Amino acid sequence: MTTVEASPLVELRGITASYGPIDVLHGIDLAAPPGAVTALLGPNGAGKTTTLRVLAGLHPATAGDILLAGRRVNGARADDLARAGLCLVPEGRGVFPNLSVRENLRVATHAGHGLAQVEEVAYARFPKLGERRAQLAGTLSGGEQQMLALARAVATDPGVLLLDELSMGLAPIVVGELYEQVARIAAGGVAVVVVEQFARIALRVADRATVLVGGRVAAEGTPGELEGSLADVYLGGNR
Amino acid sequence: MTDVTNERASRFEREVQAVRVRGGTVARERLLARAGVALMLAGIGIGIFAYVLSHGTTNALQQRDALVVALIGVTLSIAGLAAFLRYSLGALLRLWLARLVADREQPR
Repeated sequence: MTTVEASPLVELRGITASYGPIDVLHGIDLAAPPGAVTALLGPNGAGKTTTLRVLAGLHPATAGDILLAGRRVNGARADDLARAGLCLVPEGRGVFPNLSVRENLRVATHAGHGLAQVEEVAYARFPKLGERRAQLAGTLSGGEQQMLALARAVATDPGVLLLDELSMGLAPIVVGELYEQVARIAAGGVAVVVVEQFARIALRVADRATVLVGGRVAAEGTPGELEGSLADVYLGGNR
Repeated sequence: MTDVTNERASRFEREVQAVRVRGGTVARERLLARAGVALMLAGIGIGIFAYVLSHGTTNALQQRDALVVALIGVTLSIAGLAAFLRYSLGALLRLWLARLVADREQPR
């Protein structure tokens, strides 16, 4: 964990969003500084994924401000934001199951970063992927697929990394390994926002956390501040 | 902040400055969907007006003018329909996507 003192690279102020006539976010505030892990926690249906989608430009906010490095970017296209260095690893990993590990990494190549460079970064971080470079991604274990998704994200050299439900369907030991990598990625100067349903896992590496319940911020603070009140918040005692 | 953090943050800041921002899209989409409905109705109105215009005269030149007016009405209606479908379907597809995500989180 790092000491959070930098001004936020990602900031949401009073964000509201809806799906058709249904309002799902009601004035969300969130700040993620560089070099730190910010956890976005909450039970099912709390609006965590929608918040990430709004941040990534995949879903429009109906009100409020989305600020990246202090600039208001409401209405910016998702591909423009991705090009600027905002990377989303979606829930369900988003790897191409019918492509090999190597081919999946090829997808992450971009101007000035060829496959050799991308592979070097990926295999240094996740040596297991190097051993399975020719294997189809669909035949990897859940943990390895998540490693591949993370490796592909890191290879794009993001300034902001958004991770949606990293631990879904994985064994606790694998989740621990993945979150260790997340902390290392953040230490490289990246602002990491982690959406996680299982709060205690994310709080182990998070510098700050925001808890959403019913599309509203129910609590915010450092893991130490939140640890005691989490059960109350999740079960509705602090709404 | 460490040097690495500082360097990455300032690079990101520079990259964000280059992002093209169009402004709030939700209000714009609603406006365009409504404009689509208005265009459709206007097109139908113009078509009816052209019919009355054509019916009220035996002058072939005036009837040709009415034909042109009717074609403009049809064009407006088609453009309005396209705008309405594009900007109302966008919202519907987002709702569908949200349902899909919710269903996956809570398998029945």
